[in-house]
Amino acid sequence: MKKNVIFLLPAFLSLSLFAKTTLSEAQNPVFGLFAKTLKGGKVNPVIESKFKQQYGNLVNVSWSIIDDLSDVHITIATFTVDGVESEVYYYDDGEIFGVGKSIKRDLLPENVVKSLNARFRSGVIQTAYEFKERSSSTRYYVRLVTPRHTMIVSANEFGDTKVYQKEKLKHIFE
Amino acid sequence: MKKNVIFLLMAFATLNLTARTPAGGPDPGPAIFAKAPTGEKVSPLIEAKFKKQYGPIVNVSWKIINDISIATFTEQNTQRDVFYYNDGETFGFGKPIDKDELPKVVSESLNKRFSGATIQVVYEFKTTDSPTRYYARIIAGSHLVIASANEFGDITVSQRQKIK
Repeated sequence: MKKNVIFLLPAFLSLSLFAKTTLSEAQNPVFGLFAKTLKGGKVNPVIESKFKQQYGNLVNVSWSIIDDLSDVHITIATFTVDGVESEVYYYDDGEIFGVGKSIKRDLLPENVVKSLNARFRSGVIQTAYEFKERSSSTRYYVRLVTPRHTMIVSANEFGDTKVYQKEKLKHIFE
Repeated sequence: MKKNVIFLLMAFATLNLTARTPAGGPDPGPAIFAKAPTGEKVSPLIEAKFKKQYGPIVNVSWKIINDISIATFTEQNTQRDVFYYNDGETFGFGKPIDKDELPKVVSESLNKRFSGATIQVVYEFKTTDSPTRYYARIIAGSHLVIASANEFGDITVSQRQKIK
């Protein structure tokens, strides 16, 4: 399944750097973990027209295109509606892979918070990103800090948690 | 997939049951796809799982429809349902919501498909392997329609009946 290849995308896009790397900007190092930003690539007109059809001509949108090792391209439209910045992720054929947005940690569903608290008792959620996908339940990606580690974790409302990245914190006195 | 068999369950069980059926008579909804057995007991495994998740104090009522056990309880003044498979695995969560709470994509999609129609009641259903779906009971002209839409605006019409 093509989606598996880029499953981690939204987490790294939004939690690590809040990327919004445009085509003209330097390569985002976050993508380097799993994917690379295409430079000089143009947005597929099919995708652009699909976006306009869905969100209207007047929406101010910025585009990013990334691919991964298996050459699956994902085009990301970033735009703001009602003061909320959102992303729509498209496959090359114009099909929507998912939609995502950063959310306040207070808005995480109760079950998600419970699952995260159960697994990471001493963890503090720093940022959260909601990602809705066509073929699965909504997942919430969070950047979580424990006394020793910082990590990127996702959870759904059914208690399923996944850890994607775990880094040891460097303390000043070490 | 076992879930396909009962995918419509919650729509009919809840949209009709909680729909404030005007007739006030017995609810015909579940009878369309499933029968609610009388006297059947909820599996202790499922009951234990529920208590573990929501605590032993929660006042819960149970229904079993087509091997799916449904726990209905009230949390923070909101009615909630949890749907369990026989093995205790959670099939999904659902709750009636106000039609004003529908995500924009969903309400736009429903309005486009059923223009001029009136949405009577809405039920939000979350399941593990698909996007959240919103089931709506809609009066469209001379028809009563039960339709659902997901957060990507994909609509499925589950039932369409002429209003007598």
